[in-house]
Amino acid sequence: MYRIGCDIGGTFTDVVVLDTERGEVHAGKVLTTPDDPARAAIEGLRTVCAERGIALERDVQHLIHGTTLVINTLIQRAGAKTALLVTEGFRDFLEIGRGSRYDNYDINIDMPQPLVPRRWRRGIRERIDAQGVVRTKLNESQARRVVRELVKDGVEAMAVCFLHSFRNPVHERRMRELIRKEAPSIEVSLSCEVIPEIREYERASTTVANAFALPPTRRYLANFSERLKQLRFGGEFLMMLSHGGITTPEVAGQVPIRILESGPAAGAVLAAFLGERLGYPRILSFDMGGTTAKSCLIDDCKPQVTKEFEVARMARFKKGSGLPINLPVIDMMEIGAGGGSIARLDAMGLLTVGPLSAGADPGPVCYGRRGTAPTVTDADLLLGYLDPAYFLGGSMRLSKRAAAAVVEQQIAKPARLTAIEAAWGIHNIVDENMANAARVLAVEKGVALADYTMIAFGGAGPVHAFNVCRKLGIGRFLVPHAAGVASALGFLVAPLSFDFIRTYILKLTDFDHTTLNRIYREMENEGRRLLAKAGVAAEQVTIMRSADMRYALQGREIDVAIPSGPLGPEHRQHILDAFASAHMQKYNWSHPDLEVMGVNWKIVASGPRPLVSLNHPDGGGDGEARKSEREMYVPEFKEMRLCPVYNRYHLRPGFACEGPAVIEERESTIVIGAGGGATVDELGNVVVTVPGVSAPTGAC
Amino acid sequence: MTTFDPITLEILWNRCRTILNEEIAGLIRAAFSPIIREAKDCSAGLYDSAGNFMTHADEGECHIRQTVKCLLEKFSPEELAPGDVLISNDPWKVGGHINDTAVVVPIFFNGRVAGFTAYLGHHIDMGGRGFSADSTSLYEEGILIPPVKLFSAGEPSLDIFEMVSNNIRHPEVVLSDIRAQMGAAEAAANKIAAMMGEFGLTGLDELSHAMIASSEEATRAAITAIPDGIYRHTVYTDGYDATDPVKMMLTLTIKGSDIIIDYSGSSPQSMYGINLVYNHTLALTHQCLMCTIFPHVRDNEGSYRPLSLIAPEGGIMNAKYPAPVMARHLTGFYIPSAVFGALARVIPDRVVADSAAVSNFGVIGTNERGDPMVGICTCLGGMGARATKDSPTTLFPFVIADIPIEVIENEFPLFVRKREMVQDSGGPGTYRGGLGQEIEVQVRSQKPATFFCMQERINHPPLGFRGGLPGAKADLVINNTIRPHPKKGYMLQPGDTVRIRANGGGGYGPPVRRNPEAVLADVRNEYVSAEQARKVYRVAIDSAGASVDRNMTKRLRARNGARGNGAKTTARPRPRTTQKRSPRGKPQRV
Repeated sequence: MYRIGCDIGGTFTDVVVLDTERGEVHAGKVLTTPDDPARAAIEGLRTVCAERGIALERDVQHLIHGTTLVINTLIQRAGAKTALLVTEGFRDFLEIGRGSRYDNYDINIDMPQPLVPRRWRRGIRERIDAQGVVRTKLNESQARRVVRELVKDGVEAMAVCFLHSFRNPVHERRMRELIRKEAPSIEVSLSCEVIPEIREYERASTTVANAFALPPTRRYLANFSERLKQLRFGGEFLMMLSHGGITTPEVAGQVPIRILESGPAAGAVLAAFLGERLGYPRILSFDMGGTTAKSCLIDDCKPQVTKEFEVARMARFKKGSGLPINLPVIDMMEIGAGGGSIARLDAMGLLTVGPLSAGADPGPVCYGRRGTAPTVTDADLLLGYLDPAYFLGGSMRLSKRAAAAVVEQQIAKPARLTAIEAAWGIHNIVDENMANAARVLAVEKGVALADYTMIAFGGAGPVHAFNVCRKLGIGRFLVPHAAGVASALGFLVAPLSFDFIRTYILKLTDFDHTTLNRIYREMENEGRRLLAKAGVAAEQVTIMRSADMRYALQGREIDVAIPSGPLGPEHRQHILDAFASAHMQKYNWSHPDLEVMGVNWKIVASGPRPLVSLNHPDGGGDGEARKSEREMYVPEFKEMRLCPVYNRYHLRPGFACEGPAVIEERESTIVIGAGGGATVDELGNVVVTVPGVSAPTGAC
Repeated sequence: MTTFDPITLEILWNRCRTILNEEIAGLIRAAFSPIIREAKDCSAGLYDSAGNFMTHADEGECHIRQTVKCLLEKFSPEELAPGDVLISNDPWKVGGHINDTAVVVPIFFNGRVAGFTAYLGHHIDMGGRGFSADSTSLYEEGILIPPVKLFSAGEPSLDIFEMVSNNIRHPEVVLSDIRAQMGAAEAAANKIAAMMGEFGLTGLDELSHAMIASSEEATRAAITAIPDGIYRHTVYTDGYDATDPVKMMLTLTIKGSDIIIDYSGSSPQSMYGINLVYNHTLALTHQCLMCTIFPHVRDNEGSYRPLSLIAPEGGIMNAKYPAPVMARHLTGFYIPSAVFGALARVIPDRVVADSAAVSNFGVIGTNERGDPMVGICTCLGGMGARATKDSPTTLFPFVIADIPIEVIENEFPLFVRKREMVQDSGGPGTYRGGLGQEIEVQVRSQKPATFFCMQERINHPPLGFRGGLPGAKADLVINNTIRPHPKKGYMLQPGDTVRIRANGGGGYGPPVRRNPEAVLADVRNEYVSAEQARKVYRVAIDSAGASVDRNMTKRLRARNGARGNGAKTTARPRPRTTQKRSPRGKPQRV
């Protein structure tokens, strides 16, 4: 059997196939089709399966998918025209937020603009109090009138966030029925379903973002499922969530905000997996694709998950400057720097690169697809780092002449540089941008990057890793097999797992084990059912229980492990002790006399750890390691030099070479600078050492 | 003397800030009172062995620069042992009013005190009358905790815990918040010590010296860039009584790289709790100067060194112990108007028009069991407009966040009927001031509740700048009819309502120069009424409300010249001396 991971990025769509019996991995990469992203995904899927003789009808167990669709919709503000219905008298909390400013001293601060303008934020006559009691009944005729007015004004989706709906959802649910009656085509998101938690601003912000992304996501997923059906795909189609878990497309279609970071999350999951397998405790993952670069700091092999995520920040590195999304997301740094990033001379005649990307369409000039602006990939080609005849293993020919002409015309000539100098400038500036972003990330976390190993992947990651490491003072980077598509492998390395959560407020003085047993049983049955449907045998299922708990008078919960099996009265003290020790661990204090309460009861139901061999089936082949040589730019010598080109598929463990050189595989190329060296480890990873680390620049 | 290369200094500085940030996040998450956990009214600082202020957490206000030095007047480092925890809420030493309580922990490294961490929180109750403006001495405002050891070598001073706990309304909440502050301060101290080990530092003083010197140098360079001169500005506040407005007179002298802040000529201290202590006046003034003159500087002892403050003792800006000071923010929120007004004479593009006062109130009711239930709420108003852009609804320039409605209704004896922006409240201008909000609350306890009004800028709206018009005045109404004395306490019956309006911010530049499309957008979003658009901005919107009537707008704007009526209305108003206020009817004075 096979499991397949599929990642749609801004430029390329990656497909990775894992042979579940042998643990072997095969990969494919096609250009993304922005007008209809599912098309490229399906095409990639068919190609890879055809190459390997895999029958989609019966040989594939799971197809796990991730996409940047939702986050791009939010960043570009390209979602549905969305209205927000709130309790009458509270029209503005979405705009005012918590009223605090993300920079105390900047009087020119710009606050994030809400996704819903004030005229589409409307009050509905209804009120439920803090105890969940209806104080004012929902005024249905007024509600219907408001809906009609909004529809007339062109609204396409509606978010509903009534006060205390997390405690009593009756009015929000009824509101949805009323909207359906008035306007069946309008998509509706209820805050009591998206994120049933106290704090109206954060709940509304998350719900609005969900409504905003709902119509495009739902269209997309329906399209994808339909095409799979046409291919008579016989496995289970699943989506990755932003925190690394898995869900069904039905859930993703209702709560698209939960797949916000599903693509990038997979890269972080993969880097953590590699770190664990290879014994590197501290990792900086560096995933550079066509449109963006993503980095994640991973300590102890676990990517950090945050529940205080923000999108579309006004100031990239300032907490509080974006729109809050209070659902779990792997904590990552993302910048607009990729192979497709466009280079230009700005008004002052200075060379800038990105964040605008040529994406897949029109793409870099060298793709020969109507691109007219010079990009990082065009520069890399001119510098000799890419082989025009071996891009994507030769399946896509690149035009060096076109790249040279555009760099010459738009950059070199006006800036009075040679074309090579201009190309190196583009390459170096994008590296500097990425290094600066990584520095800020490290500073935010207060860590010294010199202690970290970089894991570089994504199509452009290994091309740029050497120079970025040098700038960051990182002495070593590692490139896994199939680096160009490795992020899609992240979908497959983690066990298949589903999360469940139930809210039940329980003071531990009133500990009621029967209710807890029922709640856990229900969730566990549901988890087992979904796993069985996905082909996991009952005896391979593991269930992890936990709870969100706090001192009764606190405002936020912490995660506490809950024992498995039937609970009895004797577990009360056990849970209290677990809470006290978790609280001590997190906050450095606890107190035995304070009332403790459980709020959410949670499980993670997981299948077995998949067998993933890092021994690449194509690795260690018998051919010549050294494939050819070609001219490439060596910055240390400031000129083009003839350098060796190695074929990654012919490198065996123990292989070693010195830079300057490149190692090529189908989906990516590893650039090794002068003074550096590369070796191949036991598992076939290429490990590159970076010499005489220069002092970081621009840190102060 | 060790010197630090710029990169190492940068890493250490950021590491210190990161540690303080991580632990203040822990304090906020673990705190019990919504004032700390939601409004984030707390702060954190790092100090060297002499108590010099090195850096602070990004979150929260920073008015604890002097805290550790003040505590060191009583405890010398030699008297301190590992496991000691110091505490105080003395307004003159800590945060300017009794609610602000600091927990200070020594950082021990190689057996010696290398420095200190301090975590300050605004506590929901410190006894006394409650959070109010109308005490006539500090003794009425609550229990004063002088600098004492709350823990000695890890052992709690149970006497102090018991004494405090018996003098406050919410001991479970307040003591838990103090534990959360301790947890944060100790964890931060441990992490700083670990950092010293990691980087091979023997103490913090050399690092402190380098950080402070670097901030001082940058601050001085920024001040030097401002032309020398004496810049004066006087503002009037509503004061405690409408008949007795407070005068705040500022003379700001810029001389080379120094600034002399002189509040001589300001009113004498008030009988009531609207006074400021010296350290707090300095901290707030410093923040206003940071916003305008040196926003890029990382503040610490070094950014204070070029400043000297003259504020006559016994004056409203330097009240003498035991003056009441609990509502010092009511006066303190005029400091920006004074500082920006003075600086407007030299750097008009770098100041903002007047911003809203902090409109807040305290309430003491009861829960179902009859136990006291204490609440403190703030109603945010508009920030003053800027030279190039409109302003949002936010607290400016000081920082606390709103408490969510859902939390207010859970934790305080209140039901919230409304919290929304008020149309037309933003000061009109080429750039519009932020809108004010209106909040209406209803007493929901079984028994009568005490309600403490703390409302300012009812008589003195935030003024516009350079032809911009003032933002809306603040307002306070009980049961839809009664306008009570805005700084006294009242006994309210269950079901009584209080409506509070915060100010809009002042506008910047003449409103008739505002881009008509921006006016249209404001009208469509109901920030501005069509009437105000027509009368004040002189923009005509077509009958469908969808576009600007260009011809009509041209005609409207041609009348009375292009400058419109801006100049007249932005003259600094004289203080009003009469205001009818009749606390008659239901509410009674406490």
